[in-house]
Amino acid sequence: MSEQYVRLIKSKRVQICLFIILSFIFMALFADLISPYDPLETDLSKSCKPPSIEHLLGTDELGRDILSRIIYGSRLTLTISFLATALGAVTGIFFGVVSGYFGGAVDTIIQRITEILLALPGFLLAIMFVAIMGSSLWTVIISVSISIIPSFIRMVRGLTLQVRELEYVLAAKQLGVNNVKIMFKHIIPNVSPTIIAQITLNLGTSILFASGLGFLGIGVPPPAPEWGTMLGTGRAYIFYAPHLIISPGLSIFLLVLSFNIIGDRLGEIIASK
Amino acid sequence: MRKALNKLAAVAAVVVIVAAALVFLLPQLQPTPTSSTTTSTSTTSTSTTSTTTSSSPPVTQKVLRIAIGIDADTLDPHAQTTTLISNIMSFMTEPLFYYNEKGELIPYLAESYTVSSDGLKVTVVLKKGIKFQDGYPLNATAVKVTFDRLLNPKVKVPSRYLLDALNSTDIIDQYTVRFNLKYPYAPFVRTLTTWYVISPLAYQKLGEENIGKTPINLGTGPLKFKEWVKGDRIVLSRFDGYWGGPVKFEEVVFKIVPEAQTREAMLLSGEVDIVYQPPPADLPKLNNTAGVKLAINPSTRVMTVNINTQRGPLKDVRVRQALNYAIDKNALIKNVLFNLATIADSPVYPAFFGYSPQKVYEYNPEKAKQLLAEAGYPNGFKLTLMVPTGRYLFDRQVGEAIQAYLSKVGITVELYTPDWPTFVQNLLYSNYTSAPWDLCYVGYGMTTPDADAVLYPVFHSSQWAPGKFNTMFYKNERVDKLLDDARREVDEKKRLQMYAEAQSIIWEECPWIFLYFQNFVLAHSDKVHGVVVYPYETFDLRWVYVS
Amino acid sequence: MEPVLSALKYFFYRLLTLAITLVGLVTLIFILIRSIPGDPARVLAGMMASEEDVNLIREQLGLNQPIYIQYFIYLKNLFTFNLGVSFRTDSPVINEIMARLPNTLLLAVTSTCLAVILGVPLGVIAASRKGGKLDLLLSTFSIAGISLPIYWLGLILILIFSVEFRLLPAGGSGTPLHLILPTVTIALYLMAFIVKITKASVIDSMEKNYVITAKSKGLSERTILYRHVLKNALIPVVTIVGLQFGALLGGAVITETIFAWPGLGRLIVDSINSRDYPMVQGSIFIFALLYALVNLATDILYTLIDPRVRLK
Repeated sequence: MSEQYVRLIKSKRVQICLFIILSFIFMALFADLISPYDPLETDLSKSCKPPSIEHLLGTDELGRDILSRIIYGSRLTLTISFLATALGAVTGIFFGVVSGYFGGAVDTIIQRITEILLALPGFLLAIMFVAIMGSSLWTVIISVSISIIPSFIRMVRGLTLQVRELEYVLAAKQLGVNNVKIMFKHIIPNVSPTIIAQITLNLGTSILFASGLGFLGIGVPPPAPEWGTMLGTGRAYIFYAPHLIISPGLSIFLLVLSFNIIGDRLGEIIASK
Repeated sequence: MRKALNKLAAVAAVVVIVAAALVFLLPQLQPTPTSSTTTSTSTTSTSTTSTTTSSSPPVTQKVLRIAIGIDADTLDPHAQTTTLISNIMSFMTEPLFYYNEKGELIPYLAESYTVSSDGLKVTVVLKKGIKFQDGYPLNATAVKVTFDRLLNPKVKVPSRYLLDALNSTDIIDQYTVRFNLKYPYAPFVRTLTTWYVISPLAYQKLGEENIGKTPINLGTGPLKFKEWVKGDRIVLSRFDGYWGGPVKFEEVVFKIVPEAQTREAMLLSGEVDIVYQPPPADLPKLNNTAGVKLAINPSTRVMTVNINTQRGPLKDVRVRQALNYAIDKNALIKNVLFNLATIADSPVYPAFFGYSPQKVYEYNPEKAKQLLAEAGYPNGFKLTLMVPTGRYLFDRQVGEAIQAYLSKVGITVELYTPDWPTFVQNLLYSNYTSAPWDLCYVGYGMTTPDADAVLYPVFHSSQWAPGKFNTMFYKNERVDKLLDDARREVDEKKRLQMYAEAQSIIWEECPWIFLYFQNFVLAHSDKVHGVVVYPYETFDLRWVYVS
Repeated sequence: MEPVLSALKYFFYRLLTLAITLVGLVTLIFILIRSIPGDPARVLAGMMASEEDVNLIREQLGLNQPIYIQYFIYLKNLFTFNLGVSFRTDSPVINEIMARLPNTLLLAVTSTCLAVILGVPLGVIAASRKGGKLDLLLSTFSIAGISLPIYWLGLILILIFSVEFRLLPAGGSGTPLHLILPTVTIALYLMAFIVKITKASVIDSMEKNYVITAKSKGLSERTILYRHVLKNALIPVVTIVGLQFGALLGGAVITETIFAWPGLGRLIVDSINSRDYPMVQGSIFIFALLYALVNLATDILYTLIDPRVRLK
């Protein structure tokens, strides 16, 4: 299994993407040191200025330095993405394994609930959820994770169903090994690489979803420098100050692209086994 | 195998190229839309009365096209909640009085009025010879039917509170109507500008069922209802028998386009002639565009930050004054609002009766810090600022800017941005302990040009929320007395004095962070003439023509 | 006889589960929308209206009754295909939906068609040139397309075509011109998926056993290609298209916002923002119904393409 990861890292494309991701992580961790300005400091007289020497990416509608906001924004984006994916994956994997392993009534109930969640477009659910709870960092994280859970349940359940019938699992059951132990020792390790690929891809889609919420105006509350929110606000100024939308969008794109390439390559490696 | 696949791929390539080419070439092939409406070369079709000027240039366009931002919920003239749709209703139905640009009260369907000495009876004499669109004459019966309907509790009339003082309406003779008031209420006549008079005949025909959907021939206005396609357009056609003389165009189409940028694009491409509220960020560009004219007028909508005066540090007047010094209102107007506002020197609009200018709190963060220290808060404190999003012009940005200014004087502000219904809920239904906000950005657009309209419901201590509009929980006994007396006072000079004093006290005590009056923008092609814009975010089409 | 019976059984089984899911969904929405703070009656009455007026409206809207009664009335109506009356406009919910739904569908269908017409051939080309420069180009395009935020792509296209070159309108609807930008935006995104899947499945099915079998039988290359390879390659494509169509409906909210497209997505958001309960419940219900029907259709299409796929 670890041989797959070695092959992964050897790929040139993957190396570049890892570099990009690590750069953003570095940005997020050391924002205080590398950011040229305070991302929240406004100067109305300097609003909507195009890129210049003092402000490499220009200033936004309230005169704040866009580069600084991008740098600090990486904190928000990465935090939301990691936490939401972790939360969604753990919940999804758990219910997927339970559903696939136990079958019967448990399976049916979990399946129905998953279908209900899938029938509702993710954004609409998020919009209502935010309206109820008020917009905050955690509301965004929870909304994003809810959108991830159903696909994990589906996938993990399918995998569990396959693995469940494998010989040594059946043997373990015959020997009377505890169900939980079986789930952890046999099933989960076997479905791992596929899950990891899926998680990587979800890191990307969670960023798209979270910034989508920000774009619609229901993300992390202002004046947080969230990239999606910057895009949404910048939209009103598109004729007047187009530079407002370029850097946030580019950042989202680069980060998501990197996660997608890695996840994709991993998927290729698994499939070619 | 490979050969076959390659062949297939070649076919595929052709498909792709053809399809992509079609997609890109299609826009080039389409004729770009110009003023595509009928261009008739004949002059105006003058009908009966010709009050129009004799030397107006030939009208070339029969249909006037206006792009607006919202659709109506109902076309019932008495159920309006937005200035825009109410504006459109004013072309179909008309009030007894109206205000001109200077805020002067002008008799409209009315000819004159008198107020009894005890202030309890207002008698209005109507103009003679005016007919409704269905032929019914404008008389006292029509007025009574109108006002009886307004007071009918079974009918939905959102602004009924303005008629709080009205008890009943009596017909004195064919053209004379008397309003009986419950208590002397000096601003009453001014409130008559809000209510549109309807034809009893049409009302009967339409019934409550249809009056909001198809208000056919309901009023005396220059335009008749033609059709309403929900979500798309409202179409009105010319009423040739209009008492003020027929308008110069045959039809007007109000096209509903919620996105401001799309409206602007329609103006630039010639698809529409007039555009309601184009995107403010594009105004500098529009100003310099050939063929486009902007009509910008201050409106009566005052934007303010309400301060919860019963809470913690905000109880101290010095703290509230500090808040006023801490904000650079001119910079806000210039850089955030694209100059679409005028700084306020009173909560009352300058053209209103009773306006008394005060000294604007200039931007002085040092003084703000000093006041805070004096009040015992040298290290500042935390506050929550509630801001609606997408409701007022750049509301979020203003909220963020205010947050930044206050943080510069040591006050940490947390922004709370609920959507409109939650915002209204929090604003109107909290008391001073439960309110989830300390500061709240909100605007008041009063339609009655009388100081009472703003001052009483907002600053009188009997009007504390929940359920009423003194959401600052402000209380000043002297102000209360002045406002009570001024409402009942019939002598206008005395009223002015009272309002002057009330305003100076309110200004001193800062229950608001006084900000600005918003401007209202109409953009139109330079071929459109005669558009009149009033300070009430409304415009008039009666003299418009497109050459 | 057997296969027809089992097909019918399957069909009814699916309908039953669909019904259960929809009822569950409707209940969820019913609860969620009422949990959002804000009073629909107050929104309608206006900020300055008196409490009596607000109460009058509340009564007219049926909001005074206890929640479980409102719920049962709603369910009962739902079973008679009555979606209720919009709080805001007083007209039947179904009318409002039908006025906007065609717009959303138009966008979904045209962009899906465009994406398929362009994407499938490109996928085939990539498969035929596997490992070559063209393949690399297409694969990069494909993965880039999936990573692009749709709202950003839309904004950039508006920037280029509406702002800079004044070729196309920035939003709204009405003329075919208005359809181009939103369609291209969505189609580009879809194409990325379709190219990838088509290439993978063409390559995959070319290496399958039945190709070798067919070859050994002496069938011409053309026949093998069209009858076996393509048919099997199309299965995953159909799946993806079906899935993405559903995602399109969901992502309609964003696209319709950017391009001011008067569709169902915008309607739902506006209704949530004005607390128009019947409108929200009804339109989400229709949305979900559509999505489920698309899924069902996809499954049926499956069986048509490959009768070996067993139902259930």
